[in-house]
Amino acid sequence: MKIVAVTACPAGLAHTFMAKKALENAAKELGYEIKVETQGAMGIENEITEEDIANSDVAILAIDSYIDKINRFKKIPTIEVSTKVALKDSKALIKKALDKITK
Amino acid sequence: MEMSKVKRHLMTGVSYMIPAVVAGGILLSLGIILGEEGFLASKLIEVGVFALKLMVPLIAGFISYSIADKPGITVGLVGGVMARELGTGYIGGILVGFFAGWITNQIKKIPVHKNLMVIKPIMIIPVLGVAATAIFMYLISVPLAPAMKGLENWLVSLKGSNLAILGLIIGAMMAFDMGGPVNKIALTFAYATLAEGIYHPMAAAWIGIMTAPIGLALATLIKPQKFTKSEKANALPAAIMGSLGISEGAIPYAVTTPLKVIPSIMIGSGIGAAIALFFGAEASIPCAIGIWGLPFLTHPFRWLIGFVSGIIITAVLVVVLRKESDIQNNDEGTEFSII
Repeated sequence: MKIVAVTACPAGLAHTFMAKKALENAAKELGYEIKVETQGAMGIENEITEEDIANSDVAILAIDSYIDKINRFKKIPTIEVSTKVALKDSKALIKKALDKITK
Repeated sequence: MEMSKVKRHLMTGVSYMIPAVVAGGILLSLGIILGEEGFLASKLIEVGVFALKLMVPLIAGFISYSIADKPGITVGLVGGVMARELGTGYIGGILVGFFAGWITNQIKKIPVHKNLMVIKPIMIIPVLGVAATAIFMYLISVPLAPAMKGLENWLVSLKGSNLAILGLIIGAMMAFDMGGPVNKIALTFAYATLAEGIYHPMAAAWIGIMTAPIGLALATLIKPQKFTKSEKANALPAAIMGSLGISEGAIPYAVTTPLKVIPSIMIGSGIGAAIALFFGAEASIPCAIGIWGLPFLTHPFRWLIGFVSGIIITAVLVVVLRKESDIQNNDEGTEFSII
């Protein structure tokens, strides 16, 4: 399974990148491929392309503020939470995203 | 609109506003440090004020962007400039930002002939949106402008022990839920007064945001036997995050023994902020940049006295209140492995 994710927080300095790390670690442990885009204080980094989305099964948006280009993810199942949820238990979040596909 | 959406729109506005406030606040402070007179100092102050004047328009514009995407920006920005000029400040800016986003979404829905479709985003939405937002802004400024003026006069008139009470309330609120809704209400108040050129509440907010995680980290060093393994492992990351202006590192400690930790950090942060404000500490820079903003405060030592007192009070209270038995059945603690 392939996952795309976006993380963003108001200041764009800490939570954005902590949530990215947490998601990457959890996906690695569960054996899934993940690409995480950050929309922090520097703007979009590690941008998720249309191609990435076409090749993925589910999108996780761990965001505390509005993100640019949010419409990209309309094509695939999307789960939207705050960065705190991703920080507290990324594995549960990924499993929840999985449920969304199988339903 | 659900609460979580409202919070997200507000945080989007804050996110676009912070860099302008940091730039303006630091340049302004540098000008004041350099003595306020002379060419360089006066220009620094002038530019700082220019940047700070963007604060209300930016929050309004980007709340509206969060609600209505790109077409919302202009409508919100104009509403924000009006909010500032009509004397309704930051609170007016937040309200008008929500209205601008909502009205933009309503105008988007108006059906137009396909030949007119091209001019909808470039003419119809901006013109109608700005006009409707202007009417809204004039209406709410009637009660809001005098209320803000009253608040401003009251805050300016506060001295000594009254300032200390203000600090106590802001500090305790900031610490209460460590980054949650109550914390955000206190922070919004601090931003609101910052936009009016009153800098005491932000100094209190600085203490409220940093004292809890650093005080708790210190407590684990004083009496390690009263903390779980993971709490001890969290101490350094929590202290580092705290110094960067992130309170959430304190949460794992509050999860284990909430009734002992939350009162301790509220009292510690509240008294710390009260002491700082009593001595006249001011912060014209938002606490989002943490301890790195310290050299740019107008009176860093007045602020530091309060901050250090707050940390010590927090640590001592937690150590006194907690018993070794509190952690016996809970040595795993709450995992907080983020770094």
